[in-house]
Amino acid sequence: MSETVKINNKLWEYELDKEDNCFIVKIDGKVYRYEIYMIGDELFVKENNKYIKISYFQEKDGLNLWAEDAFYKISEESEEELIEEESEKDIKAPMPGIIKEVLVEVGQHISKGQTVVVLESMKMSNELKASVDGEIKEIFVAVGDQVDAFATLVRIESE
Amino acid sequence: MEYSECEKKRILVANRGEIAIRILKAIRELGHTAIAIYSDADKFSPHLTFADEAYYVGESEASKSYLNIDRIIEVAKKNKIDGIHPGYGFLAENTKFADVVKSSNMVWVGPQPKSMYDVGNKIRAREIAKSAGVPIIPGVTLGSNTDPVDAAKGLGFPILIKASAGGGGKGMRIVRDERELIDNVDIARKEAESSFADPTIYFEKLLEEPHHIEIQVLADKFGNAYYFPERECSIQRRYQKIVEESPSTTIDRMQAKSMGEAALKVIKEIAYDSAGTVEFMVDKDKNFYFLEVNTRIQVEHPVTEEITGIDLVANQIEVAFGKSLSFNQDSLNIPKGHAIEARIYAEDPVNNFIPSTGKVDYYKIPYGAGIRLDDGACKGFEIPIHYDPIISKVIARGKDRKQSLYRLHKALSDYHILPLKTTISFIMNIIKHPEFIKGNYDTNFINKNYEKLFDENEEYIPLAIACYYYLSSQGFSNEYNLDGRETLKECWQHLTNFRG
Repeated sequence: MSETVKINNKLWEYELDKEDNCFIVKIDGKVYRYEIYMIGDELFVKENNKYIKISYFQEKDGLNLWAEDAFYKISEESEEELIEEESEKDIKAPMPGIIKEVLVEVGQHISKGQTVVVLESMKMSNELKASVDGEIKEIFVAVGDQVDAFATLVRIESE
Repeated sequence: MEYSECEKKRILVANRGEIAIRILKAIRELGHTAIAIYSDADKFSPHLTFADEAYYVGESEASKSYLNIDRIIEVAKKNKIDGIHPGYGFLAENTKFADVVKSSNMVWVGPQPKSMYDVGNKIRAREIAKSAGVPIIPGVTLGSNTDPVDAAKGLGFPILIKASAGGGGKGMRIVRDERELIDNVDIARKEAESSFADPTIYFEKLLEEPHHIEIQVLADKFGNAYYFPERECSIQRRYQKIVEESPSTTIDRMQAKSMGEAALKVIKEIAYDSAGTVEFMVDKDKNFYFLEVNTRIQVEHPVTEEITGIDLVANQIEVAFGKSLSFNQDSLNIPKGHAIEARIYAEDPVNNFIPSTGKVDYYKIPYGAGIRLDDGACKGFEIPIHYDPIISKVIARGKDRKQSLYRLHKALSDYHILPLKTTISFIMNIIKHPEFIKGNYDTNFINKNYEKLFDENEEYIPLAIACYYYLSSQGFSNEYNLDGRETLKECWQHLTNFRG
C-alpha cells in the first residue's frame, strides 16, 4: 500500500512499516530502516550505525525538517492547490511592499506589458505589468498603501 | 562589569539591524553610553535591546527616519550626543551629514568629510589613485564632445559602462560590440541621471576572469596608517557580495603586501584618518587595479577581525575620538588562520531573490568553536519591508581554509529561520561546490554555476518521510510529549555505540 507525500514541491511515493522502534521506508524498491527518538525538541535518528540529529518545526502548511545540510518542507498532497487560476490577469503583489505609483484609472484600456503599479519593497522598485490587453475594472489600492504578498491590487478584464 | 575606564562619551548609532548591534556592543565595551535610534517599523527591533537609550526618529520609510539628517541631528543635539557612528549604508558615505555632525560639535566616527568627498565620485577617485602611483583599470571619461564609439574602440571591447557617481553596482552595463554600445550609452546616462543626479558616465576595459579583492585600512589622526590582510570578495550576484574570505586563494603574501602598500598610498593622498577599504580588481595574470575607496566600516569587516584579532569597530571609534593606534604593521602581515563569511538575506533564491519579509516564527542560531554570528533578528521580530533585506552574517574561523569552510557549512546547516525564505541553502551550495572548495573561482562564479546552486539535497528524503510519520503519530508537538529522561534512557540503551 503506497502513499504519497509532497516534499519541497515534489511528490514522493513510499511505503512505510513499523516494527518496534524501527521505521521502515521503501522508495523505488530500496529499503531504509530508522530508529527514531524524541529528545527535547529534536529527533535523534539512527540509520545503520550512524546517528543524525533532526530539527523540526510544524507550521500550518506543513512540517519543516532539517537533516544535516538539507531542508525539507513536507505536507500531504493537496487537491485544492490548483484551483486558483481565474484571476491570473489581475495585478498582484509578488511580495509585501508599499504602493509607490498607480499608473491607471478604472475604465482605462491597457496593453500587455504596460506598467500598472509600481511597488517598492526593501529599497527596490518593482514595476508590475499587465499580462494581457484589457480594461481596468477595479483598483483596490492607493499610493502609500502597504500591501501583503499576493494581495490583488488591480482587477483587469481581458479583451 | 566594566572593561574600560575612559571618559564616558555618549555615542549615537545612526543605523539599524545587525550593524547597529555590532556597533552598540563596541560602544558599551569601550565604556561609553550606547544610544540607538529607531523608526516606526523598528519599535520592537532587536537592536534597541543593545542600547542604553533609544530615540524615535521618524516614520518607517528610510527617507523619513534613518536618512533624515535634520531629524537625527535634532535628536542628537537634544540628547547631548558626543559622537555619531553611521554604520554602513544609509548616511555612512553622505558628506553633507558628516559636515553637519562636525559643525554641530559632535565627533563623526568616520574620515574627514573632505576625504569622503575626494573619493565619493568614481572618476575623481581614479584620478587620485593615478596621482598616487597606483594602477587603475584602463578607462575613459565621456565628456560632452567625446564620441562614444571612438572612446570604446580606443580601449577595445568588451567594456564596462559605469556611472561616475554610482555605487553598489547600480547603473553598470557590459557592452561587447559597437552595436551594444550605441544601444546602451544613452540609457546608461539617463539611469545615472535618475539614480545619482549626475549623468556623467565613463568606460572601463572589462577584465577577464576578474577577482574582487579589497584591502582594509585603519588610520589615526597622528599619521599612523596600516593595512590588513586582503579580503577575497569575488562571490557576487549582480555586483553584491555574498561570501567573503581572508586570506585569498588567488594572491600570495608578496602580492598582498604590494596591494596593501598601494592602498596606503591612496589613503595618504586623501589624508584619511579612520577605518576604510580600498577595493581592487585583480585580473587573470594577477595584475591589480584600483577600483574605489569605501569610506565606512563594511559589511564584511568581521572576516578581517577574526584573522587578526583586532576589533575594527572599536578602533574606528577610538581614533575618531583622538586616540592613536596601538599596534604596528608587522603584527598584521601574517593572517592568523582563515576566516569566511556568509551574508544571510531575507530573499527567496528560487523566486529570483525577491525579498521575503514578515514575522520570524522560528529562529535557531548556530554556535560552536570558531563560529561568530552578527545578526539583527530574533523570534517574533517582523523583518520590515522598508530596508535592506540583510538578516545576519555567519562568520567561521579555522586554523586553515579547509577547517573554516567545514565550520561555516556546519553552522549554516544549524541555522534555521522560518517562515521567511533566506539565502542559507543557496550559500551552502556555493561553498560545497568543488571549484569553490579548491579556491578556484572569480566574479563569474555564480553566473557560471547558476543552475547547480539550486540543487536540493535528496539524500535524506527517506529519513524525512520516517520522521514525518513518527511526528504525525505524536501529533506534531514541539513539546516534550514524553518524560525527557525516560526517552533519553530508552535512547541510550539502543544507541550501543555511545558510552555513558
